[in-house]
Amino acid sequence: MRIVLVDDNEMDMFINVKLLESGSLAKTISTFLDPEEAISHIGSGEADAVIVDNQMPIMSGYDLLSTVIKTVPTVPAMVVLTATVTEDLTNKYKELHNGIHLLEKPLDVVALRSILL
Amino acid sequence: MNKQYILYVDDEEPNLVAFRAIFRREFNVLTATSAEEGRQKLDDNPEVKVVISDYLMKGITGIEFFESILEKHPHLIRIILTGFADQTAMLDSINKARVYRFLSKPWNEHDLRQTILSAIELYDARKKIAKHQEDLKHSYEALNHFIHKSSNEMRSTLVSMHGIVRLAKLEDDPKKMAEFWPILEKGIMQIDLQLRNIIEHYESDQRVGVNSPINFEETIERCRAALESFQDFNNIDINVQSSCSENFHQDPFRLQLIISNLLNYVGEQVNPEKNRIQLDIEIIETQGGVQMMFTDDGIGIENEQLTGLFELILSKGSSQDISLYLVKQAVENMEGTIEVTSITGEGTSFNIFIPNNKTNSYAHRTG
Repeated sequence: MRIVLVDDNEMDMFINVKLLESGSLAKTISTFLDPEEAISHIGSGEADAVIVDNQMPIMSGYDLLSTVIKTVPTVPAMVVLTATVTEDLTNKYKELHNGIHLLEKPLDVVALRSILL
Repeated sequence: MNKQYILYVDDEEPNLVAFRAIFRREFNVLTATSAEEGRQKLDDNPEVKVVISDYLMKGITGIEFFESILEKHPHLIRIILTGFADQTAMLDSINKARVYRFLSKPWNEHDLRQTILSAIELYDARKKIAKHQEDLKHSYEALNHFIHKSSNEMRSTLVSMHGIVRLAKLEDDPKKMAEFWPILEKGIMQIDLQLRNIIEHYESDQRVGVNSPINFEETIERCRAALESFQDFNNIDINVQSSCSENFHQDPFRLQLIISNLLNYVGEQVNPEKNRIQLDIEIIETQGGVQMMFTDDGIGIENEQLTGLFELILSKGSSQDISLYLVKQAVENMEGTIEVTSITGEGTSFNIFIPNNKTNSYAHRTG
């Protein structure tokens, strides 16, 4: 599985990459600090799953996934990472797309596996 | 002192004339000969604090008139003048129209004047309480936002650290495990910085009358060095120009709080294309204080974000911390002012005025 990780925080990125590697879930992991670059990568059809941070300064996880849903013909599996999962946030993402999953940080690889496989 | 506005409604013109003749020197007297005209005057003159009405007018009682304006002008103080003998019937309507006083006609100048003056006093006191309540509500909300925002930020750092611990548990190789310590330490420092901010904010709020001469170059350097011990600060070039003498006295703690939080904010404004940021700090001594200008060439702030910049609002997807809120609070505590202008892509400029406290401090320091 080709996984795309988008997070503006390098520490979280480092953690998520290591955790993903430990779960041997991904064939490739592409990391993006810049959401725009992530969108064009996903648009080229090279992603099976995209894991995004909810809270990013320039473009939030929500805005990023909205763009992906609008512009990418085959939408990959979508997982949103956030420090606290609230009901409001869950509803907001459910309204955007029914297939979006929310996971609390730090990334739980077992939970991720059951979502993606 | 400004003359206060009062409105007198009576369908007998001579009464209005007499009233105006007596009170026009003390008050801005508006008059109306009908309820209709009275309502119009109230709509046109929001400054009116007290309304006086005759009880028995053509087609309407003063009580009915007051009831008709209750919803639109709830804060007015209402006084009824009456020559009517049966006061029990009227007393029933007092509550409905919330009448402040009944005065009997023909009125006595002294009593009426005293009644009007105490009505104005009551009006002002109620306004003041309402304002206090509004302020209190506002600070309560700001405090709630502050707690919410700080908690969110610290929690997000904590979950990152939790992730590191989770990784460390999976690692058998002690050499690789050693890579995790600096990352954990960075997280601890971030949370510590936030907690310090909260403690400093509280302390800054509590302080009164601390004044000492300020050396701006030294203060700025101290702030920069302190921040550097917490985070990577190498991509900021700071250029300080100060024409300020030792004459300037202020609370050094609050000034440091302002400067460090502004430096911290500027540190987050680095334009990724340049990967560096130039910060010019200019300090100019002016009448009664100093003008501090912080101008950077960072990414700038978008117009819609400028309005709420100093507020504690958790905006969508924003990772902006509480720095600017703390700056504003400290500036206001010192009775200074802060303004910000920004051009997206070109930079931001903060312009702060801080009053000089030298005269206040003199007795303090020698005492």
